[in-house]
Amino acid sequence: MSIHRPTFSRRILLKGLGALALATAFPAPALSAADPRMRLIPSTGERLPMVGLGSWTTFNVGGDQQLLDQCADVIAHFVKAGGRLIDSSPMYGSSQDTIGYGLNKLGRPGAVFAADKVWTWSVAEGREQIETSRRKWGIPRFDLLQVHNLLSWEGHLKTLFAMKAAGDLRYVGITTSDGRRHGELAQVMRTRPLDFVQFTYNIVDREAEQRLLPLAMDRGIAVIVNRPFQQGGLIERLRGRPLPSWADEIGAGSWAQFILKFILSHPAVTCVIPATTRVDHVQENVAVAGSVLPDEALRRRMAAYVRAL
Amino acid sequence: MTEWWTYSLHSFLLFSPRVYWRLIEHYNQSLWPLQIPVLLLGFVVLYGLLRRQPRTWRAAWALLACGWFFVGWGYLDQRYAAINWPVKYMVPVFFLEGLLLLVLAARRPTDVRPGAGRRLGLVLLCYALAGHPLVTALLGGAWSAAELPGLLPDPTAIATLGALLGWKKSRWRGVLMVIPVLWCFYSVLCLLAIDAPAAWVMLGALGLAAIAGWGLVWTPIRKRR
Repeated sequence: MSIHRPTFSRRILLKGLGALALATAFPAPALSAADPRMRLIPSTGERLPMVGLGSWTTFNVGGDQQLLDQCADVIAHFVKAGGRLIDSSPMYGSSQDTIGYGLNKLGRPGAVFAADKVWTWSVAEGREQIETSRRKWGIPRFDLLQVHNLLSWEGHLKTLFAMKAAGDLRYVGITTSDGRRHGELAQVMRTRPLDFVQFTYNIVDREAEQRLLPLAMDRGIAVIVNRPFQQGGLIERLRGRPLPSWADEIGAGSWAQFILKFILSHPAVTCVIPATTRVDHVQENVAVAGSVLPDEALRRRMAAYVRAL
Repeated sequence: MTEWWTYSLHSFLLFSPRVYWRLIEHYNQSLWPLQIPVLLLGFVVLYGLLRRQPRTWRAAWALLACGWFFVGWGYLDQRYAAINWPVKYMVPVFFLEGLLLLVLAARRPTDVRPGAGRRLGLVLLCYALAGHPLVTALLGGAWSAAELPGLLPDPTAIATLGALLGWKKSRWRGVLMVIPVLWCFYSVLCLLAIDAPAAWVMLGALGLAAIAGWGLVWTPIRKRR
């Protein structure tokens, strides 16, 4: 079996040199720049750990103190393990409040890469929603803001690019999920200077390989992968089925690690954001990035194995 | 919303079943022992409707109205909206239903003819008072998960449907049923999204209400023929 480390284009590597200048302006990542767990953000060359933390459903716990503390524990272990990118949305109920609670409990760690979204029909209300989200997180500004599910994307992108130009935001992105509106998303990727794009990609939902992932590489757009486990449904379907004997060769000790390794082995993927309420799961997820990733031949074998189950 | 056919119920899932049931348990625990007088008042509603004397009749509808006000404020606004944001838009709708019930409480007693509609209405009301708390306690695995009318929306909507179907003969009955029916449908969708068996209980109650409603509409038509 051959193993490969992700490679990047010369253009991206040159941009990486520019990151030296940015390093003085922005908080340094918790991990070293040479760490294999990191991926480059093509537009700046900043390095980002390839396993992030999603918050859809899992962090929407309302005012339940016990669950709030549990989520704060997940965030604490994520940060302790070297994780940086935490992603949320105003659509996710109380998730932003939960993240704010967790970060506050942690003493506001500077390494966190705060990614959120704008999600409202009204472009005029976008700024106000972003400000509300920022207050909930309890941070001076977001690192990344994305237009959620392409909702009123033209107007919101204007707002986000204006914020970026004013120094109120570092990166601009756009999202979709579950394979919806890929054609429209591709059009936005081609015509707008996006830093990030977020969509669903996993070992069974592979439509993104046809158009979005190659386009992201070509355009130098960082890719965040959401719903890696199909909201847990994929893990549920595979539960009780044996991992292949060769899973050890890539250090996959569970189905979750097997799936994450498949996703991260695509060279266009910058970061995957599994969501969880459990500390052991967050540790298991983050650990994936520290070991070898499968090459193209093994990726095909992995997909075929899961398809045959 | 484009490509709407690609969405499933789970696409709109906002919270986990564990968070939902814990929310109800904590809400009930924060109100204890209010459940005891509320349950007694529920039986006062039943008594008032069965007696059909002006004073008890009006008290019954006024109590139902109070249930909608309390659920709208105490549960939807103060608790449930925190994890399920569409619910905050339903708070004024619950207040509107309470106001409409108060208006009806001020009117003279009217009555539907005894028959299948009345019996099914009685079944629904009794289920909301005694059956639904038991079923939800069993499904939730704790007494603190029991859902009582006047404190939580599902049994309040079922009780109101039962009362309207069994006792309220008025052109406004259909109007008053719109909000409870819509709530029941919304609740069914939320419960199905979290794979909660309580969804089927709510669907059963809705089915019973539909049968009773159909009987009330169909019987006069058949007699006119």
